[in-house]
Amino acid sequence: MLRRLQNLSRVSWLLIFTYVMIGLIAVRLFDIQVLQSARLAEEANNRRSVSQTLYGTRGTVYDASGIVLAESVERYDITVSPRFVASFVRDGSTVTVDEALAEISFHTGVKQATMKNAILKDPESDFAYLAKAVTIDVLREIQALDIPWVYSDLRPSRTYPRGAVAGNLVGFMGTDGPQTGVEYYQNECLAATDGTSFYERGADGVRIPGSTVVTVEPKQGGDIRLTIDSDLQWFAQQTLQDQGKKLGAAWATAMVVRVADGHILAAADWPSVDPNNVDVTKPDDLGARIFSSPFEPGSIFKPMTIASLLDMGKITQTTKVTVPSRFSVGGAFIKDSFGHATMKWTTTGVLINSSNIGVSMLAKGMSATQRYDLLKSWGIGTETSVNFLGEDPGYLADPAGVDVITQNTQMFGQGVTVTSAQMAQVYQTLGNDGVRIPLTLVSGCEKADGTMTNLPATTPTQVVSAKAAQETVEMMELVVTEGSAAPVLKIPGYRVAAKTGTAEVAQNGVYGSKRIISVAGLAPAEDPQYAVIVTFGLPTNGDSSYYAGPAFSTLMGQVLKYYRVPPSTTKTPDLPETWK
Amino acid sequence: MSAVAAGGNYATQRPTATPMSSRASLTAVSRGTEAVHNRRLKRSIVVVLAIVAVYLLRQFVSIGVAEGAYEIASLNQQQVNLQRDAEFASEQLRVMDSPQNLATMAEKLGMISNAQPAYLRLSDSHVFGSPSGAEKTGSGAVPIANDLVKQLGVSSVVVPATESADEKATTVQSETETGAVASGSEIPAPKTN
Repeated sequence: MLRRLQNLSRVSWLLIFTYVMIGLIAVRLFDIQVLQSARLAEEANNRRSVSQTLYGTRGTVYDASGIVLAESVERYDITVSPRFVASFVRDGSTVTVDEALAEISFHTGVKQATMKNAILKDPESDFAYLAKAVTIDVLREIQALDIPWVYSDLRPSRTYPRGAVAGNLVGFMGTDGPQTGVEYYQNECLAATDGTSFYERGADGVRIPGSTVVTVEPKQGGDIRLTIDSDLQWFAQQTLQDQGKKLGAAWATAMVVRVADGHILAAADWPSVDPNNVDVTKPDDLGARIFSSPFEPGSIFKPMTIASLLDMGKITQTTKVTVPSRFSVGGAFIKDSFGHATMKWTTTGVLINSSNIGVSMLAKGMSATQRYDLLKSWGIGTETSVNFLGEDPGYLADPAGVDVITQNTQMFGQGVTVTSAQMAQVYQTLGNDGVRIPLTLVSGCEKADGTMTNLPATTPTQVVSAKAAQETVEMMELVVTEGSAAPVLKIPGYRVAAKTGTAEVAQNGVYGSKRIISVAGLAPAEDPQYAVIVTFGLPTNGDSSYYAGPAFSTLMGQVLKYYRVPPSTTKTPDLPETWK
Repeated sequence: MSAVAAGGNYATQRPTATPMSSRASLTAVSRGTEAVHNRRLKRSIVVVLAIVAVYLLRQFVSIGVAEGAYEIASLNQQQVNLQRDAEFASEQLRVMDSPQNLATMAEKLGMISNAQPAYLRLSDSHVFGSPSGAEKTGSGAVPIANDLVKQLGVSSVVVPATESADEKATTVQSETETGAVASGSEIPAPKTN
């Protein structure tokens, strides 16, 4: 019996030992297979594979007709291993380091001394740049030199084939990614994600057959399509540059909007930034002032106010106003830009002569809130639907805190600020029978899989009645035929409706001698198709809106010619300017 | 295991071998043994040959695959190079196509941009605008920047026009009243039909 027990316990011990061993093995197995599996797998991969970055391509920015404004391209960095830099034998003759660097310098344009400094900075290191971002043809020339210590690295880069055309809109990329413009604010669409490919390769660098394992596929970026017409955009920028230089202006903007759908066909800024070389541009000029720089618009506001007053039934085109030489309001006087005796102007006359007093009198009796609502209904004080990077909503004071003087001056564009884009939206509404179609700059983002996102808002808003809008446009046409800037606003063969504006620039709360001059208008006046606004900031050779006229008529003339709008066949309506 | 559980119930004797005498009636067939031997030898040779053949075949296939790998690598490289050429060419083309480059080339040819066009309405021969030739203004417009023109070495293929042609490429045509063409106002028009 005892012997049996002894036998039994010996067997049990064996069993227990076996179970413990199995347990230990299981634990180790779990440790290797589960706990350490990722690390071990990676270590194994690292031993037998090389990894390669698969670059995802950042999306392209196109204009409305498919012209490339920004694209990703391949550039190459020429690198060197300083510790191997030495003379070498090529085709039987010895090539010295200086000779080799001179050859590289010849092809890349980088100074020989610069490259030598890069090598001498740390002669024992394994890596230094000789030239950055060279093109494929330069790379091939360098490779043909057959210098044993020179290498190359792929550097995905961004170029802008049209240079400064739409440069302020498109923006640019820096070393840390997108810096401004569409590149920045549409980055979510454009951005790509790099992938990685692992494969095994032999000693000679050739891939071992069948060994490629793509572990992470790169994600290609989406393409952005703008509503901009790059040829028209070029013309607008060129016009701004020519006129801006002539006027000695600090800056200028221009916008062309298709009235029917609110598409921005050109949004020009001068000085224009060339995204291929931003270093030569002042930081203030890198963005798009057209969206980001609000200013007191002055008289280009008047058609908007008059359209609303017509819509409310407060006035008609021929409402008789007796306009004094000055108009007392809130303890101050409102004056016109030119001295005059008491005038008997109609509403049309008030607009033709751009009378501040006349507009104040026409709007008389409106409360602060009514005036605020009027301006707000046109989108004043709110960013446009473009929602551009750094877009400014402008300044529209809360009605509760506005003094009586400002309540009046707001009606003719003082004491309130807007961007050129907001004014372009106002004129689009006037030209489109009082219906605002939200401005569009980005018509969509096409993802790599073909789906379209970022589609623009298109909900129309009836701001004023079609009748009120049309009557305002008719009166604006007389500004072009009868107003003081008529000689520079007319476009032969076409009926044009426009309004000029001269705004004094306030400095430290006081209006000084600096001006912002602008012209905004519509053509053809009988059936407006295009709205154009041009603005010049701080001109030194011409301080009235008259001087913005040539740029307006040149640009509008080009728009009509470019889009094949047939010359007008009807006559300007005959509206009385004065009354007896 | 079951033997252990039975506890000491072991066999007491080893089993004895079956006596040969029980198979005494069987005799060896000497003639047949050689034939079998030959057959086996043949079979072995066939098998060895087959193994060698399979091995050689495998080697050839392997060499073929390896060579294919080199060919694929070289063709891939060629494809990449050609793609890069194509991309670079289209990149250059896009820069050449840029309005800045076109404007510069046009000016080098002696062309002048005319911002004030004139129109002839066919229905009544009405002339809009002032149909006069464009004058060259100063040194010509400075095109807005495009650094890529320089970066990519896109150079103008146009030979500059001669000095005389460059100086004045305008022919002043019949003058009508400049700037008098107001929207809707009456303009004296030649009645040619």
